[in-house]
Parts: sequence; C-alpha cells; structure tokens
Amino acid sequence: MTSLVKVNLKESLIEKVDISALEKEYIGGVGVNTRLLVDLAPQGCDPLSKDNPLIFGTGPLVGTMLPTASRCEVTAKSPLTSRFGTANSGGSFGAAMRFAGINYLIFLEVAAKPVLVVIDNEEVSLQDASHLWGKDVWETTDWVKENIGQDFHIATIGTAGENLVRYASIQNDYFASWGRTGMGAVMGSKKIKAIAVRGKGKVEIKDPKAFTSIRQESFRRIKEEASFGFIKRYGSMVVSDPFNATSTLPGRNFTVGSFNDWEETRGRKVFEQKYKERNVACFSCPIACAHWSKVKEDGPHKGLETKGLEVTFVMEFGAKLDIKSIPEIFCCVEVCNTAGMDVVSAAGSVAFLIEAFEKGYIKKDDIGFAPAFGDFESIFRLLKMIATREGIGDILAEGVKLASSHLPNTKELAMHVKGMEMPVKDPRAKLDTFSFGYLTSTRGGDSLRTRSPVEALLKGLKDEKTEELGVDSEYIAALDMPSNLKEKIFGNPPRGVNIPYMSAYAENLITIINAVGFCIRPPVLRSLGPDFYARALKAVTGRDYDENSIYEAANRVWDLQHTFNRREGETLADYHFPERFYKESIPGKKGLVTPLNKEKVENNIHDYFKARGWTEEL
Amino acid sequence: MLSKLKIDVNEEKCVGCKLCMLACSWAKDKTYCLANSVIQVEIEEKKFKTKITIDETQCTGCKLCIKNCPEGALLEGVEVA
Repeated sequence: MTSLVKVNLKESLIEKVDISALEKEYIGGVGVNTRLLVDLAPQGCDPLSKDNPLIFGTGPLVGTMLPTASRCEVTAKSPLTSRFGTANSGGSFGAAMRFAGINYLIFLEVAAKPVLVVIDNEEVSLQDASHLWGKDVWETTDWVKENIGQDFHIATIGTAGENLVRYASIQNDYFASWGRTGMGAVMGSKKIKAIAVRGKGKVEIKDPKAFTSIRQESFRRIKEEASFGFIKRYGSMVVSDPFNATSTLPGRNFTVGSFNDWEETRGRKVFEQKYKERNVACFSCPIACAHWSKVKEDGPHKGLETKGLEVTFVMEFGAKLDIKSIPEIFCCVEVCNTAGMDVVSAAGSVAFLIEAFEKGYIKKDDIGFAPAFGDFESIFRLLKMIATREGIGDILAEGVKLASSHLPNTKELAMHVKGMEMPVKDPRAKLDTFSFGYLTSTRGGDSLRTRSPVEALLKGLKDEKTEELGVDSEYIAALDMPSNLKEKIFGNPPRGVNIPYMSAYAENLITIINAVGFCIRPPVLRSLGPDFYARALKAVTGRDYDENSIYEAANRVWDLQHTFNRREGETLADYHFPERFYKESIPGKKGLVTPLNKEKVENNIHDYFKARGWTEEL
Repeated sequence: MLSKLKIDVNEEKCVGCKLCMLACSWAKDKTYCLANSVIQVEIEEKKFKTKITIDETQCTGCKLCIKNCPEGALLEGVEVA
C-alpha cells in the first residue's frame, strides 16, 4: 500500500487512502507531489490562502538500506514566485514517515488556531500548539522532544514562517531545511507550527534477492566514483575554491566574481583545518558529507558549535554579502536555522538592500542604520528584522522582486529569475548547465535541479552551446544514461556537452532522484542513472520500470510542473536573467569578466524548448 | 547471549547514518525496521552526540553491522569466554 494521509485542518478530519496506482505513474516524492498540487490547487489561487495544499512526499526507496535514500519533498504553490514551489530535505524525517507507514501527507484548508501534528506509528492527531506560536525552531523542536518524545523527528516553522516571510523555510530537526520557494510561509498560513513523526513499523522489500544485489552494486558504484573521497572530506565546500578560481562567485550582489583573499578566509582548507570536527550523515548515507564544526579561536564566537559549513552558506554570506569570517557566517546561518528562512533568498534580499543603499536609492533614515557589505553587525540585524518583518525587514521579507517594486530605481539590483533569488554562482564567466538551470528550473532561479552528471568545474566552454568534456569516451560509454540521448548530448564520438539538451536530461535525472528519495550529491548524481533507479524500484516495489519508462515518467513530471507554471501565467519572456548580466562586466581572477550575449542565451533557451518538445511555445 | 562476538564501539567515529541498524534489521527478517535492530544508535542532534547500544542477549554475531559501518566506528573485538 502507498498511503496518503489527508488532513483537513478546518474540520480536523484525517483520512488515509491508497495511491499505489498514482505513485506508479509518477514514481514517487516530487512526482506524486506535482500531480497532487496540479489537481488540488485552483488556478490563480493565493499561495497563502486556504486553497493552497501543502504536500509532504517521500520516495518509494526511502526507509530501505540504499545509499542516501532518506529524502523527503515538500510541495505547494510558492508564495515567493506564485509558481510551482517545492523543496527537498534529507536527515531522518522522510524515513520516519515511511516507518510510520505513511508515504504522503497533504494538509488542506487552515486551522482555527496553531496546531502540532503528531504522527506516532500511523496514528495521526492534531494538538493545540498555541503555546508554541512565537517560539523559534530550536525552542519548538526542544519542546516536542522533551514533551512528546526524544525519538520524534520534527518539521517546524520559526518566526519567519509565522510572519509569512515569502521565503520562509520549514526546518527539518535542528539544522536541515526544506529551504527554497517559501514552503514555511505556506505552513505558517495554515497555522501548522510543527509536524512530529516517529515510526516503529517495517518497510517491506518485494524481491529481497534482487534487492540485495542492487544494494551491493549501489554502494560499490557510489564509493568508486572519483568525487566520493573529496565530498566526504569537504562536503559541498569542495567547490568553494574552484568557484573563486573560475570567477563565478556571486560576490557583493553579483558585482564581484573573485576575491583575492577568498581561499585563506573562506576556502575549503581553512574550513577543514580550523573548524571541522567530525563527519555527519543523513539517514542511510555512506558519504556523510555534512560536518560538525566548532569555533576554537579567541573572539566573540569562541565555543560556537554547529553543523556546517555548506558551500551555499559560504557563497551566500561569504561571497554575496562578503563576510570574511567563517564564525560570523555560522552566526548568520544560525539566524536562518532558528527563524526558519531560506539562506539563499535571505542573503539575496539583504545584498539587494545593501547595494540599493550604496547607490543612494534608499537612505539611512529609511533603514535606521547604515548597512554595508562585509559588516556582520548590520547584516545580522537585517536578517533578524526580516524574520520579524520589523521596519525595512517587512519589505525585504517579500523577496527581491516584490521589494524592488517598493523601492524606486532598484529593479536592476534585484537578482532573481522568475521571482526567486539566484544562488551561489555567477553565470557570466561560464554559462554552463549549472547556471543555465537558473533560467529553466520550474521553481525559478535555482541550481539544484539542473546539474550535469559529467560536470567539469575547471573546464571551459567550447562555444555558447557546448561545455568542454571533462571525461573520456570510455566514461561516456559506461555512463548510466539512455544510449539514444548520449549521441544527442555528447556527439558521436563524444566531443562536448550540449548545454540545452544536457539541461533537459539533468532535470529529468534529478526528478527521478528526487522522486525515489535519493540525494543529488556528486557521488550519486555521477554514478547512478535511470537504469539503476528502474531496477531498484522494481526490486523494492515490484513495479515494472525500465530505464525508458522511468525516464519518460520523470519527463512527464517536469512537463506537468511547466504546465502548472504556464497555467499560473508564465511565458517564454520569463526565461531571462537580470539585465546586469547582459550589460555589466565584473572583476574576476584574471581580469574583467565580460557580460553575457542576450541573443546567444535566448538561442540556447530556444534549443532547450526544442529538447523538451515545447516548440509550440516558441 | 546468542553470540560470543564482542563489538568494540567508537562513538566519536559514528556519523549517525544508521546503516548498522538497517543491516541488523534486514538480517532478522529481510525487512527494514529500526525497532527490530539489536544495535541502536541514538543521536542528540543539537550537539551531535551519538550513543550506541547493543543488546548482547539478542546479537547473533552475524557482523553485518560491522561490515556496513562506513566509518569504522564498529570493530570486531576479542571474543569473550
């Protein structure tokens, strides 16, 4: 049985239904969530109204002993973009749902007063959470663990979600989050303070013999992948130095591509040598790419312990806001973790304000103080003001697109695509699959759903449509990818990576990964493909997939997200970068990085639409 | 005690993946159920402290927990009489 629990918050009605047939068609996780959102959200609905459903979905492989099979997807119409909203998170919450016998959870309508949803081994109950409203994420999580049970895993909002900050996150226990597209604001609008889950049940395997073989194969392939050791050692921080070397930092609100002192202040080695204490894993993950860190040096933050550093944190607070001190970056992240705010959009909103202030479009009196890049005190203060919507924080809580409509002359400083703040990397030095994804992602400016499985960070472009290959022909031949797509993407013999076609493939591959419940970290992304996931799903669920049918299912999911966005008003004109990427040069490692050519970018978008079969929209 | 196997535990090396618990549960009945695992990993997430306990009265000595620990936090110890 694939169980979907529907919770009507207005009526306090809880109903469980079997959606096995739907899961077969849409794989699981983000796939099923997408179908449910499209069916349940009325066209044009206000994302913060009772009409917007909030959906939690785990993949069918979660809860099994497959590497990284821990992920859970949360989906709703986004209050930040008014388009498709979704976010993915690891930790233990998804597995706890599976062990509680629940695959999907939908919250409908709005509760009359704050509620705590308790899921204890298939028993779902709603409890009054009025006493928790106003508490931050950690206070809430502490309370639930002390009063409901230490072994519960908790999805909760903080003050940002309560205050409907449009990019509020849902936090996953203490340090993980469903970060992007404002799912925490949707949860806040429904008056759900937290969801606590524990499960002591079983996850069954349809074909144990086949599964055992697939399990062994999956661990072997991931551990043999060349990136495994680097990711284990540095986590996502592995790319911190290459981004600086290739002038792709989003420095000072995308006005600086490289900093001279980057590696000695915010690089991966300084993190490893000065702060990293031990490795930390999500459920069922042999990589353990996260780290427990401690500030040991003298100063105001001595003794601070936290989980991190993720590269997103250092790119957002270290580059976009130019904070040079890792302990200060930790503190900014802690504000986001405890208030429940997306790091990327929060840092992007503060960077937008600072540049607007520097250019004289907003005055000190309007803010109450003078903010500056690199100034921890003013940045820290602004983050807290956003979470509580205090003063200028009330405007910044709307995200940069809406905020720029409140502040005259600031539109060109609002660094977003389709209403979502762009993360971690400037596309001007190298518009590769990673940053082309900012344009094509169904959730707006985002890097996490368009990642090439043969990404070569230090390689360049052959031309505007083609990345240089970072792997040889043998590697391509062995790559787990449908063979008919290889020739289209790489050429025959392989000559390069066609960016528009790879983008469509990468999106479909990551849709599969997010649907089954795996993680997209490079050892997984690069080593496992549609053939593996089809066989794994067949062994676990008994459902008859092959590499073509699972790929087609993922394509169907992406198409459905696109259809949803079109239904909500998206057009081809929305596939564009902020104008400064086409006009302004930025200082890079080896001199000036020149602007993008708009016509060439648009040609790539046309090719991407052709790759997706959306030719009638061109 | 079902087994004479002694497992040396290094909690400082534990990353909290619970692969040992999954392996132990699978050994019992070819399903995954953390509650069925003889080895239990408790994680105090806010400070990342890990605590590993083994119910020696139930351990069969299959060593799957040791084999599946990616960090070497579980090692085969000296057999006890």
